[in-house]
Amino acid sequence: MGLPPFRYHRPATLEEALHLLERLGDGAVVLAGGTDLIPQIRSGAAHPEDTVDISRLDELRGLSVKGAQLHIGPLATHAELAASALVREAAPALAAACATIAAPPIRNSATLGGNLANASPAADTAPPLLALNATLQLSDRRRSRSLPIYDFFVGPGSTILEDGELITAVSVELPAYRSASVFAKFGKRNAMAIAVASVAVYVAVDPGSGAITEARVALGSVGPTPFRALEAERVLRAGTGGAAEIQAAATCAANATQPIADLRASADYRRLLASILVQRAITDALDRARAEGCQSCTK
Amino acid sequence: MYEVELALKVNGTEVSLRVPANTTLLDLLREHLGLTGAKRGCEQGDCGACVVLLDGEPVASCLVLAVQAEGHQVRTVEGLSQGAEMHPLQKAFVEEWAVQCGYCTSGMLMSAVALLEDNPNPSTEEVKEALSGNLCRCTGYQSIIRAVKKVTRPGGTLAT
Repeated sequence: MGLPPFRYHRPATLEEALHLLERLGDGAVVLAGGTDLIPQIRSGAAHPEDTVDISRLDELRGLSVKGAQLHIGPLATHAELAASALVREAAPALAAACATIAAPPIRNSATLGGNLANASPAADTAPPLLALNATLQLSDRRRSRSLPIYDFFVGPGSTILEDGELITAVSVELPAYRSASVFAKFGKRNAMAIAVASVAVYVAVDPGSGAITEARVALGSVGPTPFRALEAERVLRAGTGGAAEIQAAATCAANATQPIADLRASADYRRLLASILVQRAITDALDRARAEGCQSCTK
Repeated sequence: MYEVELALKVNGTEVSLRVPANTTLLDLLREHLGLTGAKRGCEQGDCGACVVLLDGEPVASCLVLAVQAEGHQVRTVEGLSQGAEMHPLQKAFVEEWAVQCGYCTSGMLMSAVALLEDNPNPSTEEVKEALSGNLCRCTGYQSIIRAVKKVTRPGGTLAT
């Protein structure tokens, strides 16, 4: 079935794109990889008069380390992020998540910025970026603002992005020397399945004692938005990472979920799954942080 | 702006034409260029029947606008054979009976070609991962995996 007609624009620069988005207003949609947008246009969920193709804007590409931050251009595809040695070292949970999204033909097109802006509660890149304390730069023609990804998601399919505003950079803190981040998800099959529950965990440990110095736990697909389980994090930060503490943190995380029941799973099953995935992810992250840590990190 | 001018390379040949902006790469190939090897399946990126190579990487052509391929190189199943001589992977598909209804075959071939050009000696797990976005509803996966494994070359390159 053909797509309904729309006008196509390919701005040559970011500035031109932001001008165009301001001028066109809410009848315009932003096209990057297209893997969410094209099905939405096809189904009628999106019905743009104008499509603004940002996929060739060099300003929105590139991976670099500046100071204690890894900067990721939002046009990075999931395939690029999964394959990048830099991302695998500096943001292992993000690389791991990107390697599990859909399947190669989608990963070659779909972008990080698109996955975030689409704001599915099941967006696989969201829990890792929450666990890695990512900062997003959002820009429209008039201003540019930076905010923690913690503040970005508002509800299913909804973010704080305003009309005419683009995600122009994604930054994550470089990990501490003895730290690890992991991603875990569960779906009905490994490829192409939308997650029933997903989890990302970042932990840092004291190089001497092995005690937990920082812990961040984020979940996806078990609430209206991806979210941090702050109570679970407090339980972990107060302790040494023993089995009872990990179990208590997993219970806190499960209590923080607000899962729906749908054709993929019941709410109770999602809550149980969240607890088990959190427990496994914390255990895995602690083992890795203590065994190897981030070898090239000096922070 | 409802129409766009396009110039791109399809199977090594320069193509220039004017199409509606809402034309997908799959529509361009099938409806405008007469290349019907890539199949229209789910039109949601789930099934892989429409997979073609864009600058060497497999993509779901039902989710890519034709205009996004402008200035790039597209390869389809029609570009695999050299005249009457089938590509080694196509021969392996025939020899291993890796085809039943055939609807998934061109997408399977293109995903597998992309894998083998990057990694001439993949493990069975790597083959399965590379084909994980291509569905076969005739339950033919084992023979497809066998066919791909048949043209792997330990330490070598894919003969074309």
